[in-house]
Amino acid sequence: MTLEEMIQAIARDHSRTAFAGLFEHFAPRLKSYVMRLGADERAAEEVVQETMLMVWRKAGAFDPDRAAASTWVFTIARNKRIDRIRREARPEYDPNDPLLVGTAPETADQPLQRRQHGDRLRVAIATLPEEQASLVRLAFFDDLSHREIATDQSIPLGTVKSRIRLALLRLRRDLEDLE
Amino acid sequence: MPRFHVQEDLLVDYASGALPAPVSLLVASHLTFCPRCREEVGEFEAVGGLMLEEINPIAMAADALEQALDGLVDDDVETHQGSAPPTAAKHAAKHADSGALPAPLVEVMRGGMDAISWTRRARGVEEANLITDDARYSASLMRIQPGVSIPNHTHTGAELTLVLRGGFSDAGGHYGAGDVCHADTDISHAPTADPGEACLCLVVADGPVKLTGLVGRMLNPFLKL
Ligand SMILES: [Zn+2]
Repeated sequence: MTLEEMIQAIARDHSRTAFAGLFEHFAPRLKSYVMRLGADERAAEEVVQETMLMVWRKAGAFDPDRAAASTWVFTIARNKRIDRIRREARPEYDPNDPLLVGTAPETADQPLQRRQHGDRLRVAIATLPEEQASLVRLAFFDDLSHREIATDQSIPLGTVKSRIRLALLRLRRDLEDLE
Repeated sequence: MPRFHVQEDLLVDYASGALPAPVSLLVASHLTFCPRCREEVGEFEAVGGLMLEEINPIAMAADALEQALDGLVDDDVETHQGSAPPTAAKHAAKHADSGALPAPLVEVMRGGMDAISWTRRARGVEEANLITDDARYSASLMRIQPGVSIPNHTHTGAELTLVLRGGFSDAGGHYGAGDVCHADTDISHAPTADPGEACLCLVVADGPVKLTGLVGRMLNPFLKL
């Protein structure tokens, strides 16, 4: 069973076996992620537990055509971590907002294209030069905004912006090359 | 679809979770109007997902899974078929008195438009604080009466303005609902609101909140000092 199918099995059958499978896979990774962002071990375990509980509750909202399991779980953990630090919930757009300006209706092959896109992104990240890869990692895993990375690495903000931009552009170019 | 977008680095920071609340509020509100930037945020979140896959795992406590399984309740699994999701209904209820405003903004405004207390800044220009407890950024609503020009001014820090209703023009062009105007320290501009409808904007400024005196603070329910 893939990770995506496990989430769907929770939505469909309330499968505890599938939940345990997801927990075994994601919990130690999420713990590492939250600790890298500065939480102590106890707090990290709590964020992981809260995140996994949301995975259980929100499984029905997961759409494998829109995002990979890892992407979906990442966004839940990101929000849980922020909500814990701040008094207020993280301001986020609401996909159910009646005001939401819609996208054009999808064509039949778009979900497949998106999945292939994800696979290529994986390859592209693995082959990113170390300097660029470490900046992307910094941006995602060290709770640093572009401005803070600049201070941290003693390089100008403009340079950080352009290097991360370069890394992301390279990722996109690699994707297009593969298509 | 908006013509003026949020800068890419802010979209990356939104996806990674590094944005302070006031900036996150502005980006989230723009995303409500903008499918193009939502698509881009989705791509950056996918990068975050892949980073999560490649991170070195750290073992959980021995009883962690057991503890998690104990907490699972069948009825907690939300169903998403049939009627509109609960958030939509909740939003519609709040929406009634706040006009058509993006959900994340309605969330921050709590009491809706009626509970907003405006402070006059200039003739035809009013401002109301929304988020004032961030160390670096502040978020406020600005309402400019039709046809009114804000006198030529420069900024002490960077300023982001998102048009929510109506529109305005400055040397950079015309900004309508969903458009984001970036103003930096050295840029001097004199925006003029469109005729007809008052222009409502969300303004996020890099720099301390301009306090409006003791009375203003006491009257303003959003200022928690
Ligand atoms: Zn946009």
